[in-house]
Amino acid sequence: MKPGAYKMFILFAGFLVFVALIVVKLVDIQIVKHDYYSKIANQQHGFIRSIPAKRGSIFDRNLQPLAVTLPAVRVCADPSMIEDAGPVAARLAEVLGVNRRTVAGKLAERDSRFKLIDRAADVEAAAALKCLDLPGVYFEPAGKRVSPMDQVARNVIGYLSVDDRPLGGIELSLDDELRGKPGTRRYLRDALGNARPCVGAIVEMPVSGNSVVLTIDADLQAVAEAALDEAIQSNKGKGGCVVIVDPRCGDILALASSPRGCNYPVRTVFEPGSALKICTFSTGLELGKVDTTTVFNTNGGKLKVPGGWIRDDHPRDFPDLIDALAFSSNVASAQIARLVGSWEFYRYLKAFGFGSRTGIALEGESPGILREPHLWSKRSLETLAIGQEIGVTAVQLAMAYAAVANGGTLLRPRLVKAIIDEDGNIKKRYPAKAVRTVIRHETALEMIRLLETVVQEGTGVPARIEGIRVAGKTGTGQKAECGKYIEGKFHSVFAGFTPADDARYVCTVVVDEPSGWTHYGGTVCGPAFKSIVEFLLRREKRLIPSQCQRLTSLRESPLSQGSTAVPASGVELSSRLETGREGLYPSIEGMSLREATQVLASAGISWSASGSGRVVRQDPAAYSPLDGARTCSLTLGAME
Amino acid sequence: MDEAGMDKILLFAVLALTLVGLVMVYSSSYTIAPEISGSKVPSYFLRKHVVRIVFGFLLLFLFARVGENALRTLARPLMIVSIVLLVLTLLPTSLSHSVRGASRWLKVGGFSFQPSEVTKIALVVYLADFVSRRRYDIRRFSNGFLPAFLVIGLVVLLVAMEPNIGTAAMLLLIGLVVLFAGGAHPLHLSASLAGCAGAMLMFMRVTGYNWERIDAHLSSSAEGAGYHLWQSLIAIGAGGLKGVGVGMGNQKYLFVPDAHTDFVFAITAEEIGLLGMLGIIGLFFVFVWRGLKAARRAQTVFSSVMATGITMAIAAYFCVSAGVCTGLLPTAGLPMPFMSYGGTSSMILLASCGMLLGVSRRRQSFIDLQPSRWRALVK
Repeated sequence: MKPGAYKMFILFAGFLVFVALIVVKLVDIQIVKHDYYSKIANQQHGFIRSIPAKRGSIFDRNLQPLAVTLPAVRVCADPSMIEDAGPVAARLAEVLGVNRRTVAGKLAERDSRFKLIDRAADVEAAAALKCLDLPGVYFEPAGKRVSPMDQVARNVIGYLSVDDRPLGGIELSLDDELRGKPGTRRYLRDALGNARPCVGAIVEMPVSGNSVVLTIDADLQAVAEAALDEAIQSNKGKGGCVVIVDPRCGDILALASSPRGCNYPVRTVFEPGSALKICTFSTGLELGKVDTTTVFNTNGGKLKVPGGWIRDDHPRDFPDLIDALAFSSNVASAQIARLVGSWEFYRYLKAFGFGSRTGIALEGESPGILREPHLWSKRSLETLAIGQEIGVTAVQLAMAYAAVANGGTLLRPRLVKAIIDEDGNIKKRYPAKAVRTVIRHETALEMIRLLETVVQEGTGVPARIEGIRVAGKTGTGQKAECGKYIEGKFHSVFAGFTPADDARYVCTVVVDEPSGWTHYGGTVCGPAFKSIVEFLLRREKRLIPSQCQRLTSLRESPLSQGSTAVPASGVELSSRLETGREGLYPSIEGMSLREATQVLASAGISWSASGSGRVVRQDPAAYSPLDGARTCSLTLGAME
Repeated sequence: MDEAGMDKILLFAVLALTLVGLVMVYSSSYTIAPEISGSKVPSYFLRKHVVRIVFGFLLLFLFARVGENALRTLARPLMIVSIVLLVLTLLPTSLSHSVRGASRWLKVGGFSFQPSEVTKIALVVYLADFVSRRRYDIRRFSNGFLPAFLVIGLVVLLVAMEPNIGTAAMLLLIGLVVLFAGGAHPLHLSASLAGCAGAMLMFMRVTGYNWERIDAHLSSSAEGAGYHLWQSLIAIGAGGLKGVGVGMGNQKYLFVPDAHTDFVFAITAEEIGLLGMLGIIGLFFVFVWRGLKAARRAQTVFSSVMATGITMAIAAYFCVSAGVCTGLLPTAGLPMPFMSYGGTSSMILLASCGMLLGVSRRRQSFIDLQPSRWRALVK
């Protein structure tokens, strides 16, 4: 019997039902769950390889390159694909200049699928290798970090590990800017995990890193490093640092460190010793507790403090403020601090930036050590006044000197000037930033005068340079360990700036543990300062004052030549100097001891003094005729 | 008898499906050709497939010309030869050739082929002849159904012993469909179908062969459904509406196993998407529609039953293969008609299409279909 239409219909309907089921299922898989399956498919088909981004460069302030990344090629090998390791290794060794045995050893590991032959081979060498078409050898783009100035400013720049991770310095602190953004390339693979023979599609283009322009002056940095090495070597020091700052804007021009790798200037905390007296004296002057006419009774250079004595290294009888600083009188400093008082002194130390991080763009900066007055011992005030019981970094010290040098404003140290992109467009500027005004302009000018005297005739003489005006202060801090001072271990410090009246360079030199014939800051660090300034002098003629004047003494030539405003006391001083008349005892009442002794010295009169303060009485009296003895006894005291 | 030309639409469907199949065989095989064949030529499978297609079309046009009587004469010898070949496959002779633990192949003079594929068409032709000879007894059990069922059971058993459960099930299904078309009693059909299904499940449960596939299919989650199906689903799902583009698929890189044979449906779905798949399903729809139409218009019981059997066999293979790839059915290694790479099956497929087209040539004219004539003919 021929099959009837209904059977056909049943069979056809059965087919249609099943087809409908398939269509429904297809819609479910292909439309409803499409995203789900696509995602899984993408995951199992492809693998992402990153395309390295070009790392930005690091330039000095004159765009001299300090660290740049050159294109290089990573040479890798798949030992499992290399039948005969010998010739391949020989070729690789020959072209890349690597050890043949090492390479042969790597290639001999036939189980391995990956061996790194050369992390960053020259592009030319890699091109030559590619021509050889060695089996199992493949290439990947890479970068090679080179330093055109070699080790100069290494501590500032930092460096990269072999796998291009930043280790210290700007490389680390500005890694976000420098590293760029690696791109990605997607390769496809089969189910066995083998890459399919196709060029991977670039999913994301790599973005080159930005470059960093530092405030560092590479030439000056090199000179500073050389000077530092010289100072350390000739004084058998353990280490040290040089910080050069432009006090007008806070730019760090040089940041030399020894040992090179560690960032001594921002990490190492030391006792500044007398170098801190700049704060003591500034505070005294600022608060009006002392002035340039103040004479100190140093009691032969010792002062009783709770638990001991404070002594002067260069004791002077009755030094005035200028001499007290010039010869670094510890007693006078302690006396000033007593006049100022703990909390005020602490406030000013803080204002000068001690005890807090300066915010320099380097990792691992130390805030130093400055305890609050309620934690002080009974003698802390006096001890602090001479730069002990305080820990500072060289950068902090340099910024404090810069604050004095620029007329009283503490600046934030600026190490990075700008971030520029690949094409040289400025992406970000780092403006100079003032932290606070620490002292009045007048106080700063007086401090500059005082510091100039230190170099001219005081402890800072080794830093004196003929022809230009240098201001500075020495310091020698004893090293402490476990809360105890170690006998014979010091930090020698010299901090100074030039030109004194219009400071453009503040330079701090620190030598750690000098063990030569002396450990005094002036002698150890002064020459280094001097050689740096001499370099600047050769490079920049304008450092020499226009009227080339030989400044031997503040007394001979008060500040009137300075381009800066002449302090009132200076005018007073010079006018009073003229009061001496031939054949008569000059009138010196009301003068400070320094002024008085100057006047007396110019008239060839010897003197003796008692008390402290200003001259309240002179004997013989003013305008009495000069007698044969030519001596004058002065009584000092407080003026009404 | 009108010598009308063969059904052009049916021929078009066959040609279109074959062409799509050629493209998909190449697309799904070029990536794995080196892996599987050891040949370095990506078109290794395509070349072999083209040769078979050419032979297949020669067979198609040959069988389209072969008359009904010749076919009916061939029916019994063909069945006997098939059974002999199946037995030979099972015997450990130099001719038999086993792959992956299943002896499904016979190798004669350098050519290897699957006797079970030959059995497929032989069974259809034989049963069509059987029911047309016993057209009045077929509704009975002992005289009609039982002898036919015994033949079916024999070949199914032989194929199942290879083991090739999938094909055995398909042979059973095809045989029962032919008997249904030939007028067998529905009770006999359904009872035997149920009995055989039970027996097959028991067989699989006892031998353990393929049981995990059933097990995997019954587990609800897609991930747990076994690697084959999971990768197949990923391929189909990744295709989306429009597909990733012909030749652009990623799943054929050894992710989907047997990409060019049993799972070509999944690869196709990935590359041409839902819209393309609807096109292919449409072509199969046209094929089944025209095939059944040819069967309905056939002049003799034999032609009609044979045409129904061939059409439904191809339709069933398509449905089962698609069902396996989409997870509707448990995984069974069955080729997709026209689309899969396959030696014997491609040629047998085209040869059976030739028989189908031959039936469409010998159709009744419009006048023949008048009800009065129809009834007269039946009497």
